[in-house]
Amino acid sequence: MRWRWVVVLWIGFGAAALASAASLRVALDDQMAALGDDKGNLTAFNEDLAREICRRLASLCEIDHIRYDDILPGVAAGDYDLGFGNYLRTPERERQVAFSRTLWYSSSRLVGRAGQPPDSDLATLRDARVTAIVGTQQHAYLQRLADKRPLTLLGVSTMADAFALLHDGEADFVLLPVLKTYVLLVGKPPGHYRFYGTPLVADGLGGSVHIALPKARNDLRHAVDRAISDMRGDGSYSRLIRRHFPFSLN
Amino acid sequence: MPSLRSRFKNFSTGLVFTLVAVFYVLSFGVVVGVAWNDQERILETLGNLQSRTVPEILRHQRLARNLEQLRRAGERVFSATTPETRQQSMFVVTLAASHPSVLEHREAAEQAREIEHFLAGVAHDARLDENTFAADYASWQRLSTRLGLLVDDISFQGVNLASDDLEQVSAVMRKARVKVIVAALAISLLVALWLLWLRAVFVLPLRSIGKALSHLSASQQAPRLAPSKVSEILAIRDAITRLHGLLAENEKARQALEALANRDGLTGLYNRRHFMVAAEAELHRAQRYRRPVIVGMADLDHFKRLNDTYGHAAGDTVLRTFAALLQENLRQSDLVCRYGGEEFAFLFPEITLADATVLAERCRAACAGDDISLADGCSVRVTFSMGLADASESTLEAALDRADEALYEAKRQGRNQVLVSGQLPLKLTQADRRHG
Repeated sequence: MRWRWVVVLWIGFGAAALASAASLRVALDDQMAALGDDKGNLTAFNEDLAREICRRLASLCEIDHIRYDDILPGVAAGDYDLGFGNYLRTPERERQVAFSRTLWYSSSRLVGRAGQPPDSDLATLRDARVTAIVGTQQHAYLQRLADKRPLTLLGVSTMADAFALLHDGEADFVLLPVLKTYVLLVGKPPGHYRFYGTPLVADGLGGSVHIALPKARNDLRHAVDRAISDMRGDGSYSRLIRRHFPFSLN
Repeated sequence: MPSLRSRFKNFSTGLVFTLVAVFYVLSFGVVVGVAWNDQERILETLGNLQSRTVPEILRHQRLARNLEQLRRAGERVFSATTPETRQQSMFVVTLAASHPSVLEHREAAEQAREIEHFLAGVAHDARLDENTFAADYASWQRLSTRLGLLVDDISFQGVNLASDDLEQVSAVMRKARVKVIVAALAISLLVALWLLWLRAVFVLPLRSIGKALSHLSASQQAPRLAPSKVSEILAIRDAITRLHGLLAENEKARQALEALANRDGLTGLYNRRHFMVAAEAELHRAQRYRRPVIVGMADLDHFKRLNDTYGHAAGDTVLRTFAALLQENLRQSDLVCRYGGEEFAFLFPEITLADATVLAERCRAACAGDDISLADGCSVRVTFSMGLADASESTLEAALDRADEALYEAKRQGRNQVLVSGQLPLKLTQADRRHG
């Protein structure tokens, strides 16, 4: 009978320890979770990164996979402590949330079915149907461009929807971050899709990628920044990248 | 309005110390200011290194790494064995070529774009004909080599960025080291000069003052001190001069008091009280060292009749003249006092009874042969009788008693003679002791 008491006490102490530990609410983009495989799963990478940061902050991770559009508002409202949406740092977003140190760097590029004119470039593109995910920097940029040029902008909710339009011939190009595109295309048969034009960084289409945090949580931002620096310093960040991608994200 | 020269003819040490303190404070202020300025420059350069150069180095490293990643992915495009792996490598090429760090570097962006275009064409051609690889590989090698050289250049550029800042820091620190050494030497020199000045102005004068004070005596002349311009030293010197004057005055007063206390006012000889004290000490000394010592008692013959005949003034003149005669004929070490009236007591140290007798006889003869001129023009001749006694083994009082007995015996035997105690024919009675 004595061992039963030991088990009960052990469970009790464990539960108390779990209850006393702080927890961090993490929001991840749900549309990327279903895409990619073991090598190229951006959501898996972000999830591992979130858990490592939580571990270094001695906190429990409460991870929610939610829509991309809901991540920033959720972080701004304080519903989430960390938002992993591969966010570029823009003035509009900085008015809503705070950002961590740089995780990696991104640029945007046109992707289209093979067979489009090889010299297609967003700088000169006209009379084309271009799609982008609503709420992204790419969509906002195309909106501004469509006001000046004869372009047809097709807004979609997910990357799968965007590629469905490409596949069905309803769109000629999709404007996406290059890394996300890689994640999406790496498992597809070769020769169907290709990149067009020059990569774009200006106008909020590229730059450094960050974790979103509530603006009021400066202490949390400092702790997360410190954790990221420590991860870079001890090599665990590089190992995490190597676990998910066959190249460096830096 | 005093001139500057006269103002600094004699100066106060307070003023000097204030000037030196102000000078040192200003000197240290200048040194601290220079050091502060150097530190600011070092901090500024290090701040630049941290805020501008290090991020720039990291940016170069990142660019070099991404270009190298692009080059390796290009190699994998050629080494891929399946279309799927070739496509994956091609994606990595695209990712690397699209990286913001590559895009912001003009030459790197151009090369990356050229390579991506070339490899995309190769991959496209390969899908149609796998044998085109061999023809394209030579071109790829040229592109790869050029990209590799660019990677090296960018890496070195990044490393060299730090060199300028570090060189600047090193230059500032080298200059700062020279400044510190110069400042240390200057301060050491100033301190040495200050110490030398202190030694010349204070230590040496104070040392001579101490020496003068240790030898300061009323019996010697006032000490001669070296001239000084320091008012404090001058004040001490003046005080020493005044002190010496006071010592001399005190010595004169002491001697006057001593004369009043120890000397007989008429004859200038010791009085009885001082004689007894001095004779007692001398007797003890002689007896301790077993040395011969003789005492004597003398009395002028017929002095009462001389007083009655010529008056007390003549008597006083006779007494003074007799005292002077004694001092002329006795040794320096002999003690003589006016014992009372016309009676005198003697102590002869370091002499035998026989020699003392000879000495006393010489005095007696000198007195007996000397005419004493009186105030009224008359002259008189006086004699004295004297008794001697050996005091080597008796008390002073006992020896004086025995000398007194010999004196009365000399009186009784006709005066003007010296007799030695112990050689008397008979014991004198107390009734015989009368002055005659």
